[in-house]
Amino acid sequence: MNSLSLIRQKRIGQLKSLIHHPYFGFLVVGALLLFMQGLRAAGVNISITVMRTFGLTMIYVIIGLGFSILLGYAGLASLGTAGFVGIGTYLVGYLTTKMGFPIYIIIIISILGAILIGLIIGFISLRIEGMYLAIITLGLSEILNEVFKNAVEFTNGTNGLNMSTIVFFGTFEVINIETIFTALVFILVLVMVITFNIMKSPTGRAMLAMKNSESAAQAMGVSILKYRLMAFMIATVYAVVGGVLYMTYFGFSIPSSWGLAFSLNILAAIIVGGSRSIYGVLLGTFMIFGLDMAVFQTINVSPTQNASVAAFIARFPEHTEQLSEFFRSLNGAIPTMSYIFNGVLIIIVIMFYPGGLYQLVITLKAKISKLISKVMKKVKVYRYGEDR
Amino acid sequence: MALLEIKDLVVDYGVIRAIKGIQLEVHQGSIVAILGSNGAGKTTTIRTINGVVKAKSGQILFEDKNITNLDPYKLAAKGIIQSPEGRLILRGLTVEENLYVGAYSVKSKTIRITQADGTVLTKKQSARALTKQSLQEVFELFPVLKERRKQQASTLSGGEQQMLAIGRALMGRPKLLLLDEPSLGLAPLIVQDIFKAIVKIKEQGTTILIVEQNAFQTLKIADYVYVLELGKVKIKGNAADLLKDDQLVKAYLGA
Ligand SMILES: Nc1ncnc2c1ncn2[C@@H]1O[C@H](COP(=O)(O)OP(=O)(O)O)[C@@H](O)[C@H]1O
Ligand SMILES: [Mg+2]
Repeated sequence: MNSLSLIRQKRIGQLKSLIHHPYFGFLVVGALLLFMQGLRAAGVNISITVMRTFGLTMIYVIIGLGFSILLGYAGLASLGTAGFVGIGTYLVGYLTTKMGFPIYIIIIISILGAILIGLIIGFISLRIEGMYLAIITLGLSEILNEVFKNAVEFTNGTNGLNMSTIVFFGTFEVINIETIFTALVFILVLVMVITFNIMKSPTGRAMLAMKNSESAAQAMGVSILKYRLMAFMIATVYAVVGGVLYMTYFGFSIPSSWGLAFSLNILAAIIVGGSRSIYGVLLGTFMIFGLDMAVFQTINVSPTQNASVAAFIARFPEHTEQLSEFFRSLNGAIPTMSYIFNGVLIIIVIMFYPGGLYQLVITLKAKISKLISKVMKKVKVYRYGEDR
Repeated sequence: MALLEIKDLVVDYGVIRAIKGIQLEVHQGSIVAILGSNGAGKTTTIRTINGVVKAKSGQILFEDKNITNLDPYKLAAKGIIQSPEGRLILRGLTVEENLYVGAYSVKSKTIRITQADGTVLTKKQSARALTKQSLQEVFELFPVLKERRKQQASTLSGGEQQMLAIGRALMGRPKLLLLDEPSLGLAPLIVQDIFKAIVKIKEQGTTILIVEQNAFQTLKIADYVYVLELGKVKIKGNAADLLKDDQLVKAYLGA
């Protein structure tokens, strides 16, 4: 073997180890999102709705990753996510517009605040198990929602709070949605890396042990107190930071966004995607939130607004009235279709793929690679004869 | 010097007194067995040493320090680790993940090596390196776990699950390994395999306190034996002596 091919072999080896590095996938996700933004900047026709869908979904993925540590690793259920995200949005909104705090200070404050909230809920969780814990956190979230509605001074009540500027170096600057999108991509990749490290660390393993059997975990020296607090702290920090990002990107927060529906959607995303995998959370969040925003919310079959529907109706002149009425009411029903879609999806996943859709992807991958190796064997036999 | 010393231990479950003042010593490098029939208080003793159950009165000393009623995770950090009764493997995880969970209390440490010329070398071993080393050792002790490392723990046979439970405890690199009825519900041939492994663990330098109902087998591998009855120590002595005393064994152990 000559030295040139040796070098090439080494290069291929290096490339292989790069691809198999756990962070590689996260970087690819980030690169794809930046690539999409680049395409749009270069003039490719990608609608603002699609861009916003991706921007918001990134934020929901971050919130979902915190939740997957809570549910998938520590085995603790919470229906309070929405309240904590809401806190994040109002915190950044108030501190920016009324107090003129720079964004990085706000992020530090929100993380500290979230740790405190997480600790409190963690302590509550020591006395309450399973379903009851979910109900308590739901109650807490609903109380927060009432606060959002009534603390008009801070939240602007049911009218919603606007935020169009942020402070970086002492001066108010108008938010540039493109810049924030880019920042979100970097933050998302960073959060994925952090989450990966938590999941694979002794902390992640201790939580898994606790979820499986508290007495076994204790026998191995896992402190239940410590890891319950830790799990809630992590999930709350992710949720509050998610809220801060949401407000900074979307520029508007209203109490009705932070109700039970949001918490349930986060839960659904994690269950559908797979609660113990980062890619599962990514997949699930895009299924639950992304499809809703990009597909269901944009379909419009109102006869006055959709040309092909209008043309279809025009073909049956004797039924114009009934058909127009049908399409009009169908149009009104479409937004709720996403609920039905999500519901069916959850039922299917829980029945057939308790590990989430990510498990399905893994199974398919294994099946396909088995099939390929089988075919390759056949091809070899065909080309070189049976005995080779 | 005794590695573990129990003095006048009393343990209550509500109004039930399960342990009624026992004395017990475990010497460094030995296998000490606690025998006795169902309900004698064996598991309670182990769980109290491990801090899962709290003592009502009495003292537990480990390396001459009082460790009575410390929390389990603190005891694990000190080197006392239990392989619990009924195995309690983590069914939702793979074999390998189960073992990694066991390594959770391992901290990096500095070891001092005194060389021939008298100079002292310090070498830092990271927790990761130590864990890798323990994993190798466990796989050497129980090769079947290596074969099944990627398999869900719930798919293992009873004997393999027991091996996993012991292996998982070893991953924490214990100084004192507490084994609660490792032979429970296993076929005689498999029990022999497990007991052989226990002897190997002792030979590699880990002190063992084992609780058993399988008296005859246990007497063969133990150095010193305590027989519990209704929360009290009824008999104690060298295992070899007890083995010779047929009458005693028959009377108290039904073997
Ligand atoms: N959690 C518990 N609550 C109340 N009583 C218990 C509990 N665990 C054990 N006991 C009682 O304590 C005594 C000793 O039990 P145990 O230590 O499990 O015995 P062994 O392991 O020798 O079979 C028994 O009388 C048992 O009924
Ligand atoms: Mg017992």
